[in-house]
Amino acid sequence: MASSSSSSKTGLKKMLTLKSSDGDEFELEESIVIQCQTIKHMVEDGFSLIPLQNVDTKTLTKIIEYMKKHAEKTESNKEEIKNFNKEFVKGSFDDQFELVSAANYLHINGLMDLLCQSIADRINNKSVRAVREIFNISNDYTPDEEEKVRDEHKWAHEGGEFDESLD
Amino acid sequence: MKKQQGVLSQFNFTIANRLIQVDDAKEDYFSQLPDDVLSSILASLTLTDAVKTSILSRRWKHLFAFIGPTLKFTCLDMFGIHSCNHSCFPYYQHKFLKGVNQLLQLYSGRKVAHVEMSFCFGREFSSEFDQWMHCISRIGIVQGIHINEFTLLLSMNLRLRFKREINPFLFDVVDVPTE
Repeated sequence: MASSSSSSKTGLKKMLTLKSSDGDEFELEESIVIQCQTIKHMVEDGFSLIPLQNVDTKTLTKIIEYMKKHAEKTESNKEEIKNFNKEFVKGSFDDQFELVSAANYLHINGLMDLLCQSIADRINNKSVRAVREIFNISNDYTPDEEEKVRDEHKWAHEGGEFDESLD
Repeated sequence: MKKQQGVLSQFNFTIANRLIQVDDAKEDYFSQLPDDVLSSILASLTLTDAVKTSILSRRWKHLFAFIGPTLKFTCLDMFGIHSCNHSCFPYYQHKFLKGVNQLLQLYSGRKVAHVEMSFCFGREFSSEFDQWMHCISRIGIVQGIHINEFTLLLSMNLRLRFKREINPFLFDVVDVPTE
């Protein structure tokens, strides 16, 4: 029907408001925000003010930065996006884990892949001891249990030189 | 008696663990993430590193077994070996065979999208190869399986493509380049 034609035709962009857990509001174009599956579903259900109780202002600001950049993605700026991604995952561990939690909750697949890869890069080829220290994982196995698990997957622990450094 | 020893070793362990405890004030970074996020992280690791995580703590014990839609076994990746002619080291061959066997058995009866294997030996391990195929036939493979075997010493590249939808036990030799 003519009357329900898309708003882009008339030049008016549909705006949405995201509200962080700290109560701050961010107004954004719908086309940017629908990269996020959770919000997309809410928009489809007719919401225009979207409260995000699990995402604080600091994290939401980062996520908006990511979505804005990725909304500009075209064939010609692939390199630029790649560099942006590289910089994006450089933050502190605390920030990265906050972001993973939020990206998971919001279902932003591209961001999830980016962050999971970045965390995986910190684990790859590290010794078990180093991984425990880097991520502060406390070992709750008894020595006997630990020995048993190690034995079960002996092939993975043998040989090879694993990186003991904590960076 | 045995039980008592168990309690005792648990007790000793608790003390020992306290001594080597990582920074108590800091929280385990992964504790705020659900298991499915951990699985996504595991899927980005090499197979060896993913399996190694089973020893981190109890939570991680079985997580590596849910690493996702593609099972990828590449002998080079698996051990982080970047030299091309490790095929002469039986040590790595046995390690690879063991690893693949274990993973395939874990996936028995489960569904995956894709199985991919690349390794540089084979002929001398025909019985193990048969065993793999047997294990693979018990995994629900949705899309397909791709096997590359490159025996570098013989400078031969034999690619086998396994077409499950036609016949799970039928192999198609797609190309055998000659020198």
